[in-house]
Order: sequence, then structure tokens, then C-alpha cells
Amino acid sequence: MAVKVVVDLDKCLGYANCVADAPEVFEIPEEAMIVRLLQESPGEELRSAVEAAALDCPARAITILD
Amino acid sequence: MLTHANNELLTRTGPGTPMGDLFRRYWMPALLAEELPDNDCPPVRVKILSERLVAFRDTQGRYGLIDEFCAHRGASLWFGRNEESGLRCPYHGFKFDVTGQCVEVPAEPPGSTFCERVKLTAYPLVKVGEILWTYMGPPEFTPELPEYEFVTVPQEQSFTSKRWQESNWLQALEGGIDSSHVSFLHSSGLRDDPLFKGSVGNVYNLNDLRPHFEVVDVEGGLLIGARRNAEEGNFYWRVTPWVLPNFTMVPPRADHPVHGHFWVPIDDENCWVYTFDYHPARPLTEAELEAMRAGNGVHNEYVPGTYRPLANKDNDYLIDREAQRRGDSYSGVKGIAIQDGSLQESMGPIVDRSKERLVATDVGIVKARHKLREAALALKDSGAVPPGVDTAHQRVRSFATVAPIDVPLEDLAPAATSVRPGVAHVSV
Repeated sequence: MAVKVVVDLDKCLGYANCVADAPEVFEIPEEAMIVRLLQESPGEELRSAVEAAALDCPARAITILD
Repeated sequence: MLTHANNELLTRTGPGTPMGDLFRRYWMPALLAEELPDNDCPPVRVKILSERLVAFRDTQGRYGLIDEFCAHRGASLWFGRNEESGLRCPYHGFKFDVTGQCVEVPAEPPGSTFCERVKLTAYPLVKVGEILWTYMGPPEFTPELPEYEFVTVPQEQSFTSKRWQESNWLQALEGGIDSSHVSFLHSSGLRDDPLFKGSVGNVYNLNDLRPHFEVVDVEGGLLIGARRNAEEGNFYWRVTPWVLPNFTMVPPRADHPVHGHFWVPIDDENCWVYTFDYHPARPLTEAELEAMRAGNGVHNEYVPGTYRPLANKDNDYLIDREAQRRGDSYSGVKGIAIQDGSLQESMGPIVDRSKERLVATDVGIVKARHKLREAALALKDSGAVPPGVDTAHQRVRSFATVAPIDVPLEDLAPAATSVRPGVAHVSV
């Protein structure tokens, strides 16, 4: 079972709380100001980290689909 | 959060850096006019955007801002003799005029034209309001002179001070953009400060510690709106304009003068905070001026004879733990300016933004960083004229108002932020 993660890049402003919460899933590339999704379907073991990332995103840019 | 690369991009303003090139497209405050009070008065060292310069006012009243170091062998012209329309190096007598041109080399033989081929870097220095402004960019892109309202109102309506802050300019600016700290850090000032107290807005400020922030993009920068609950069916709005790259205005309170700041890089680890107060519709009262000179409001007390705050990092900002414990002062540091400066300096010379955990009330800061980066890169890549250069962008006001909850900020802002000469600011 995997977690399906979607990031709305129009909403993302690069607060980067997601990177702190789930660095296996989200990163801000060195030259960039907004997030890059490293894996769209991380494993179940990352579910709580991804849920925290979604909760902590001030821009409400992260959605978990399942 | 910023990556290391972007933090470097936004904080470094020396010659040849993208942000340094951006700053060099604007008129910047270089000194207060009071620092060069008379013709032939002593010159003043000026460090700005990491360049070491010396400012002087010559025999004819012309202002000059030239390389600090003599073209001959590099002695500081701060030691110079300001006489007969030029600044003369006391080492060997080389003399320079306000354009940086060497006009005399006394040891040269009669008829020598050597001095004609010796010139120092020089920038224009122009008095607008009570500030001496310089433009350090390509001469062909020199903008119109500044038209921020605080320098265009009659002199008796405006007061400006400055203080040295021992931190990078950006963390200082970000304090000016983030108004959510006011309900905490400055809570005592809202109750007691003679230049703040008595506004009904202060009550909303103190009662609602969870403001909702909305940011409106405008041509010259951003309008950062902090919305708090007021009476049933109404919101209290405090709206801070930011004009690129480093001008912010604090929303006003009641009929007090309205204030704001320029956050000017000295180098990458220090900045000048130019702090102004003005009233668009009336002269400042003697009581207001006295309060400002005494360091109230957004001004501060000084180490005598300097622009260094009396409370500074060498004396732990004279923190009063008893006042903090009693609740007389939220941080224990006296005065709004030093409450801000102490915490911004405590972050270190250049704060590491890769470690931040930001929240929704930081939206103004985050958007400002995007806009600064875009402007610097657009200038670098295509020569685009940056936002805030056009004087129309500079004619803007902060405001504070109570409005029904169904009126959006976009509808409130155009009238309330517009500069109307002689008409008071929108304030509650």
C-alpha cells in the first residue's frame, strides 16, 4: 500500500515545512524557491510523515489522495 | 525556508552581486542631512553596499560622496582638510572635488596636468527631505529623485532618525514586513508608548493574537494586510506597504504620526535603519518631537555622539528581567526599535534560513523573498527595470481601518494607500 501525494505548485511558496517533516518525499532544489516531489507514491511507512507535511503546509499545497 | 544558494543571493549586496546590482538601481539613504550641517564641515565616513566612501559638503554647499581612499597611496580622506571647494588629503596634499576629480597635486611641477588624469569613484549625493540620498548604479539608468511621502511633506511634518543595526539588511527588513510580532514583542508599547497609545486599534491588536494575513501584489512591491477580529461583523485591518527593495511603512494608530523604515545595507553583516515619522496633514507637535528625540515610538536612545543604540549587544541591550517577569515589557528590552533590533541581531550576522520553520503569518516575508529574487534575476538576465524605481510606486501609505467582514482587502487598499497631499492617513 502506498500513499498518493499531490502538490499544487501554484500554491507552494517554499515554506518547506514539508521538507523538514518528510525529507524522503519533498525537497527544495538548491536554486529553487518551491518544492519538488521526490516520490509521488511513497510507501506506507512514510504516511505519518507525509500527513504531518500536509498539516504543516501554511499554503495548503499538499493533498493526500489515499 | 531558503536554500543556502538563495539565502546568499538575497543577503549579499556588495559590488557585482545580483542583489547588489539591484540595490544600485535605486536612490538610497546615505546619511542624514544633519551629518553634514555646514559648508566645509568635517567629512563623514560612509559605508554602503560594502563600499567605503567619504561624504563632504564643500565651500559652495555642494555635496560629494567619493571613494574613501586617496588615489595617491590609499590614505583615508576622512582625515582630509575640507577647504576651498575640495577635500584635501593631509598626507601629500592631493585635493579632490565633489565629483571625485583630483584638482591639485601640490608636489607636481608647475604646468603639470597629472591631476587631470586622476579621478576617484564618486556618486551623486542629493538632499531630499532631511536625508542625503545617493545613486550608485550606471549613470544612464539614474532614476527620478525619491518621492516617498515622508520626504515630500513640509519639513515641520516629518522627523527622521537612524540607528546602526549589527545584522544583515534582510532580517531587519523582514521584521518590518512581519507585523504579527507586534501583539507579543511590542505589547507594552501599545499600552504605554506616547507615540502609540490611545488607539482603539491597540485593543484589537492585543486581543487577537492570531491575525490572518493577506498579501496583495502591487507594481512596486506588496501590501501586507493583517486582519484581526473587531466588533461583531467587522475586521480590523493593518496594512503594511513594502516597496522594493527596502522600504516599509508601519500601519498608523489613531492620529499619531505614521512611521516607517529604510533598511540600508552597510555591508553584509550590518545595516542602517532609517526611521521616519510624519503626519501628512499637520506639523508634528513639540511633544511628539520631544518623544521621538527621546527614543520613543520607533526611535531609540544613542551612545552619545554616535548612531549606535544605547542598548546594544555589548550590554545585552540593558535587558530588565524584572520588567519581563512583571509583564511591563514582554522581552525585557526597552523601546520598540531595540526590541526588534535585539532579536534580529540575536539571529547572527546573516541568519541561516535553511533551518526555519515558517507559519502562515510569514506569508508576507515569503512573498517578498520571491519578489526580490525575481527582480534581481530579471535585472541580471534581461536588464528589466526593477519594481520600486518608478516614483509612482513610492507614493504609497500604510493604513489601519475597521471594515465589514465582507469587504476584501483589494477593495479597501486603493483609496487607503493613495497619497493625497494635505489629507490625513486612514487610521483608527
